[in-house]
Amino acid sequence: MMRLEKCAPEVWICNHCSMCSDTISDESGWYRTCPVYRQLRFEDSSARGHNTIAFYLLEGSLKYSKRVADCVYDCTTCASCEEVCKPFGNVVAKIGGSDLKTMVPPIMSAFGAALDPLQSVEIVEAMRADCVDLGLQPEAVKRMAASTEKNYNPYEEPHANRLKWAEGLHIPQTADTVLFVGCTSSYRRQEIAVSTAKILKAARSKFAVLPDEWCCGSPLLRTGNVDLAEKMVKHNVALLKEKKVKTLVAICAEGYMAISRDWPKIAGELPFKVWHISQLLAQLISAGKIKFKRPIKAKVTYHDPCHLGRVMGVYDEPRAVLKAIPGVRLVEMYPTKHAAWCCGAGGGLKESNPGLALDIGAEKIPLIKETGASILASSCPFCKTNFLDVIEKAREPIQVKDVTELVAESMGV
Amino acid sequence: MEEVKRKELAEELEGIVGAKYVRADDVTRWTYAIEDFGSSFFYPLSARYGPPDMVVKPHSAQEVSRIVKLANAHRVPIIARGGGSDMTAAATPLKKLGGIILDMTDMNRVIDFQEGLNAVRVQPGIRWGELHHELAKKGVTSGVRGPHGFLGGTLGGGIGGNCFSINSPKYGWVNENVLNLQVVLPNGDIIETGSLANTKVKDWYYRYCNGPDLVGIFLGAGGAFGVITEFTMKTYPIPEFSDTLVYSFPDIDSELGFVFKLEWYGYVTELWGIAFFTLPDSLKRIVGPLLGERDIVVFATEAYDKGVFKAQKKAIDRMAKEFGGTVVPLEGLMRALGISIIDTTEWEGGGTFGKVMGPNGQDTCSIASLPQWPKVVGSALEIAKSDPEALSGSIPMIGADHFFLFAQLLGRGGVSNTFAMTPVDFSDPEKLKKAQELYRDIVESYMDTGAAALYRIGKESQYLMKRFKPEYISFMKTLKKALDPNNIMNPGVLGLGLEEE
Repeated sequence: MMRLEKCAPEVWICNHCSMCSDTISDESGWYRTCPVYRQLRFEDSSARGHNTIAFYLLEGSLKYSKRVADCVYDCTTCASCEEVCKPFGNVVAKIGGSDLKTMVPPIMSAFGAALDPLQSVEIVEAMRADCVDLGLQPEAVKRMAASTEKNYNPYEEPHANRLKWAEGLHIPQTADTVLFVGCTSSYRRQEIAVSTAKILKAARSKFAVLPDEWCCGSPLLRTGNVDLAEKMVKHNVALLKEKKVKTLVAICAEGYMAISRDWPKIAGELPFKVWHISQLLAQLISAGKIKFKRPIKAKVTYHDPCHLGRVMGVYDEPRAVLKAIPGVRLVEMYPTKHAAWCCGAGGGLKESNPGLALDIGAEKIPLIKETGASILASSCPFCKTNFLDVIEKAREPIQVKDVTELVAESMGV
Repeated sequence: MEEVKRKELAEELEGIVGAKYVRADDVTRWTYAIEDFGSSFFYPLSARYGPPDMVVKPHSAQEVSRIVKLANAHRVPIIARGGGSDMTAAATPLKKLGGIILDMTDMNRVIDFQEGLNAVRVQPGIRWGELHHELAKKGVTSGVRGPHGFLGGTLGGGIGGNCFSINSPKYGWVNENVLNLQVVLPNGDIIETGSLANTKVKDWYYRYCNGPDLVGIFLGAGGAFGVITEFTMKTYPIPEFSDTLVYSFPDIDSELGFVFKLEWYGYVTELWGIAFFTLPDSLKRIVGPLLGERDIVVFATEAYDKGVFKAQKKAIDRMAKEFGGTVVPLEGLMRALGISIIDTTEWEGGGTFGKVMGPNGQDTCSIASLPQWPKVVGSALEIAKSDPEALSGSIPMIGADHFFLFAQLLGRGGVSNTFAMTPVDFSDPEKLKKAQELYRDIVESYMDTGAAALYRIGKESQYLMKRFKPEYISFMKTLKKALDPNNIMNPGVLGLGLEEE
């Protein structure tokens, strides 16, 4: 039985209206939707096309093949398709922007009415899971899964090195609040992990990091390795329960989304609160616990990580943190927030089709330059990695920083 | 098409547009074997429609011309397609014929904007949202805001499918706004119509010049006579003053009388009418206590001058009272929220129909004269209620699970549009089959009162052929044979090119 079958009612609902492929709406802030369609230009590269592929897979006219796999893996899971598909979403955005868009679903849900969009990302992920079952996934995805199974991280790095970045920082391994560092900050973007730890120490926050933290499971879930993801999630939840953790703070957008949204589906209700680091920093700044010493005199523009913004609705806190840094002048790109363009790295695309990921990221350079910003800030180590590659390739004089790095720099820690 | 021939043809097409813009693999082909949600209603049981043999993305009229010549040489059908949000099957191949789909969405530029002439020249692959965006920069509007295809639909599909539009009560149907066309004929010739037929004219856009109006035969023809590669359309100043007004009326006749007069006097830009008796019980239970069992008209009125605007609204109020109308005080709220029904395309996310109204099997629209509206609605309801179980499924937003009929009164020229939509249970093939049969009956009833939009009319020629006068059919066939002797231009659309059926 195909895993896709559970999505059949969603597949049938798709209107094939093509708003997810390419929509411009001045009224609700959209300027183009699907980043992959923007590059590849055929219908099979948009959510609409993926839903049609799903339709014919269910109907039997199409069979899973390497070509189907290539197609469904060419997706960043950025969820712009779902955002533009939200029933009455555009009028809500017109009235109250991204903030109201974030508020409306829980309000409607309280009245028993769901305004969920078509679950296009879930459909893609179900097809990817079928591809994994059939061994059709890209080689890079196979390698990533093999590494995660062996090392508990997708980067083929020894598990023993997970806390190498923390050497000399004297961070305890037990506390009510635990920093969920994530694989990318642990092994590839250690500067973000270090900045975060230094900020929290300077703010006198009590927190711990866990040497036996495993992959959050998100890269596996996004790429169809569902069973292995469940193993990772169950381990992490058991570990956190054993440590009696009360608050879990995720450094990256991907981890925050996985822990908040995906973990409860796999492991049941979580016995701890989940925060993204930007939310904690905004609270610490409001409480006066973060002392800035050095102004950063620069125009900064903020890139909304798709999984933090569109999926989790966190738009304001990273901006509040940036605005609090003395000297920083925050300038917005267009489109932004709910309609922001993806960096190109999500959904495993950076691994499965790195050239396409770079092309998508490069599309954002004119938007950044139009703001006149010299610094591009984000709240996701994965976005940072792709933008570093994009900016290096384009030889543009734009610095790419995580919000935590700017805070640490201004605090002088 | 045989694999060898497909490969050879694909290579030849690559020579015209480049390898990047030709696809002949199964996955791409099947993603072009669907249109708007009407398609998903039909495809599981349909043996009639199928994927193209290949998909090509041209970037100029010259490329289209070379592709058409090649298709002629190989006797392969050509089907031009835009956003693919059409519901008429005009953009989907017949299974037995296949063909080349020309995906026109890369021909999406605004080529020229003539400020003094209030006209814009565009390529057909431009999407509605992009047109609005580009025209807003110039401080003007296209008036017509686009069809149900939302902002992702292309203008080319709209004019090829004869679509009505948001704001049609004021600005007419989309095709009433078209001035000139550039068309690649079935023999590959590129022609320009109207004022642009004159070699001395480069930038004056007018439809009626020195000869017959040749624009008309290509509009609404679903690509049967050629591939439209450019066109010009009217633009208008953006009205500074606009409000959305709501009135309720004691009965349908009063509602229709008001709508007709409102449009006749030119006071209305966009309008939706709802008849109480068409609502499902769940909605009646909500609307009844709030407004009484009355019929509702929601409409936008606009003006360029404040004094005129105020006077216009007073005149509308007098007119409504003449027909027993009562104000439903939503105007202030709409204004405070900054929304208007004129922005209907922006009101909705793409999933609104599917997610709010339920898993739609199908919707279909009648186009009939305004006084016919109660009859059209009544017969559609009667058919649907003959087997409510077939048309059932969950509509979470309104808690209904049976037939749902929504009515829009377009107004323009006394034309009504009845918009019928129901949920369907896809998981039950028997129920689905019955639902399809009921929908066919509804379309038949619509066709008897005027015309039916959607529901695969584009290639379901049986609806047309048994009603068209023989002389009309003969004339169309003569045109088709003269222009397209090899029958390569979207065969099957409007029943043309399928003489053997």
